[in-house]
Amino acid sequence: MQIKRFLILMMVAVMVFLTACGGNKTQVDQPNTKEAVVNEIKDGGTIIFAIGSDPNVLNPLYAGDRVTMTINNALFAPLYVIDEEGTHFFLAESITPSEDYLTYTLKLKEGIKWHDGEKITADDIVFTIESLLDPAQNSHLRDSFIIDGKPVEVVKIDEITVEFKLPQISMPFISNVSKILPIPKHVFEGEIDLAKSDKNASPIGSGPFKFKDSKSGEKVELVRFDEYFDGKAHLDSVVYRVISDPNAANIALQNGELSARYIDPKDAAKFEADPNLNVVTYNEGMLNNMVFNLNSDTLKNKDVRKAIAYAINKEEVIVGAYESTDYAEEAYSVFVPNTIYYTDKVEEYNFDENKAKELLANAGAENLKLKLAYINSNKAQENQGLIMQHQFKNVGIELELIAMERGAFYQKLLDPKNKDFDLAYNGYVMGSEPDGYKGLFTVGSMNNFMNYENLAMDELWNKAVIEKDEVRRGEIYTNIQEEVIEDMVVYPIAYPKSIVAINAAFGGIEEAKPVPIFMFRDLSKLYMK
Amino acid sequence: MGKLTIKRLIQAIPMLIVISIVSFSLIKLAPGDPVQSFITPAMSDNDILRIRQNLGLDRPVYIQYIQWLKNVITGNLGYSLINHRPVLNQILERIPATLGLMGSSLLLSILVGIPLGLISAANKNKWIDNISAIFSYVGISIPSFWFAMILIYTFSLKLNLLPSIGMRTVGIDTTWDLIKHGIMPTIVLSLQNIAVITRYIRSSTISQLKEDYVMVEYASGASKAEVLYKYVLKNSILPVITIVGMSLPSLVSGAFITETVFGWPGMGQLGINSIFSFDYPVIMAITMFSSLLLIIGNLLSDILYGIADPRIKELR
Repeated sequence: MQIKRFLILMMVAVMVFLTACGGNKTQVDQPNTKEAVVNEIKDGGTIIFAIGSDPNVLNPLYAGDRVTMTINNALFAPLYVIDEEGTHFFLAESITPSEDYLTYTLKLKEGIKWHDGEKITADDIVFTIESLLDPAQNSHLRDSFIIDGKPVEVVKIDEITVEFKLPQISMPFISNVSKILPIPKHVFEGEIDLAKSDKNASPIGSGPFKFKDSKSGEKVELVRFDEYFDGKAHLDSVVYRVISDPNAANIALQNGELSARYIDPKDAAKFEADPNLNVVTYNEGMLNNMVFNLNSDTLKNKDVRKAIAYAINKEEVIVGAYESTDYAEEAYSVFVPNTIYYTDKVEEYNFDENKAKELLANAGAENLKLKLAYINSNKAQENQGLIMQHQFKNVGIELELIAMERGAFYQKLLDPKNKDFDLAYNGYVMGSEPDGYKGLFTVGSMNNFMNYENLAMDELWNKAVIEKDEVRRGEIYTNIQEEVIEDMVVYPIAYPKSIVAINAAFGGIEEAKPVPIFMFRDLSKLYMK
Repeated sequence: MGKLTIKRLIQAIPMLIVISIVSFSLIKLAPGDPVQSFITPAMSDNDILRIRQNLGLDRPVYIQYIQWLKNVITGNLGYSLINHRPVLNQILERIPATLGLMGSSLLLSILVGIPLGLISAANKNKWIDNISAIFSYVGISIPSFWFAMILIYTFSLKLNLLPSIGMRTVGIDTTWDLIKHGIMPTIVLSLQNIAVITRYIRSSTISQLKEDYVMVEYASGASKAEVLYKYVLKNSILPVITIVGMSLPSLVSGAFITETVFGWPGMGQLGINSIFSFDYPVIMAITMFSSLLLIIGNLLSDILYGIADPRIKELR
């Protein structure tokens, strides 16, 4: 009897406890339904983004991963940004090359300030460049300021003017400067190891939001910087919450604990139907492709590579991997559309089984057996592989799929002697400057996954770097895009889109400009409706 | 007892060294390195080589190990290769969250497991015992990440009773808020232990109930509950001490999954992130800390067992 009573008591206690825990809707301003939305800008509110892990070092000299770059983008303003639409100036007012393109004069805007109220001056720019040029400082940006083996010289002209002196003409230089987010000299001066500096724990930046607090494994919290040069932000604060499990993050987004996150194409329809969420898609600046490993004897024959390209029904592959062409555009060039001098006027290799069979027969490569490698955790790649396996069968190619652990896959892909597989799925983000793609296609480069050797092409890459005439430079890059596709060493599959689900309470999405990696270029423009 | 403790602690040193050599070698043998976590196109071949060299990643594995060991002996766990912060600070920041979660789930396991085991034993082969058996088997076999998702789906999304992620709500810093965040991870982490403790208590109580002294107590007029709580419980609880010691490995490994699913900012979450980003010093520190925790856990359970049952002490 006593035992039964104890059991009943326990059950009652548990129920009372669970009931008492009720009503925990997050304290952040809640969304209205889409119907109730009136486009009225109200200042205040907090936006909560999901991040997969803690940021690394909140110092732009060391940010090379998505999370850190995203947070830095809110904390630190760039000098300027170059995209397919042109140059957008932030901290800088102008950058002007000399006639011989060996000197660039950069002028800062007047009266701009760091988060601690100090003025941003030419000294900060000189300090930033000199710090990243110091080989002991481990910055991954150093090579962008080394031209022809020599460092770029940076000189202060006056309080807001800096001159860069180049040892040789380098047309990508102006784009390389745009990658720089300056750091404050008055904060870091005298630090021996900038990466390990305690100052990185409470960064002083120049962006629309300033650092407030961070808790390892939990969150990074930023608050509005009222003296932001482009007018103060509408939102009071931005919080980045660490959630590494995508399922948990999806639920947190649905119940309002999160305001925005990247979602998978398979979840897009579900979130689009949710009245509390808006779904935004935009080009991610990435090319997903299939790499031909030229160490493979069979693939050394260009006709075999072309036959493989003709055997692929691209649309079918994209729909299988990304649900719909709404979430991934068909790709034909090896550059992405936001790259300067991008062209889609290249050979398309439209699906043609007969042509594929004919080319294979002529090359004497019938009954071909090939191995294709991909990362085992990538569902889209797995789907692509299964579809291609089926498509290849129709032209007489047997495709073996090799799913590999991420680290092992990259180790093999980067190995210049790799013969473990013939084909591999890969993806790259190379930015808007076409010279960024050079490392993928030139001899001896670590990122030349195909082991591609075309010396004439290497010359073209080098020529483009010093070509001052924009039209001629454009022609060279068009030529390069055509030739790589003609050689068929990389089969472009798709330009995947980023899909972001954002709480319907937030407006200003277009003004904040959705961009690859950071999600939004300028968070100061987001507001609560 | 003091001698035994010191002896066991000394024995732990070579064990820790072997663990460190095996872990270090395995981590280094795994393909990939921290420089891979950069996604920026600004990273050139030269940058990659220089950074790898500066971080000492180009040296032979045994030299890297010796350097690591030297640092550890002097109390320096090194710096993270990814965020460049001292490893010790990162571990210390995360320990409270993990120990809090482990402690609360251990407490819940005992508070639920012991009564449930006793009730089952007292009602052997009745419906209540059968339900408890089903619960235990499910508890032992259910994958924790799946159970976690079911809880999150039910209590966060559908019923909106509990927060699904993290340790605190943004902008709120109260104990009640912390407790609400801790309920689901604690339940997930406890489930297996509750099941194990229930089964152990049940079987040890059943065997105790067959002992002569129980008959004597019944004969002298004691009620069933009195016998159970006053006499049997004391004896049947002994295995729990061992189980608590034995459950530490499952708690440590369970914390890795539970913390990741619930975004709980403990060592498990740090460990998973370090593994994915090849952050060797952090992975090593967490491995060594977990190993130490297990050794201490086992030692504690031995000592406690000795205190609870003096016969054990005599045997040594």
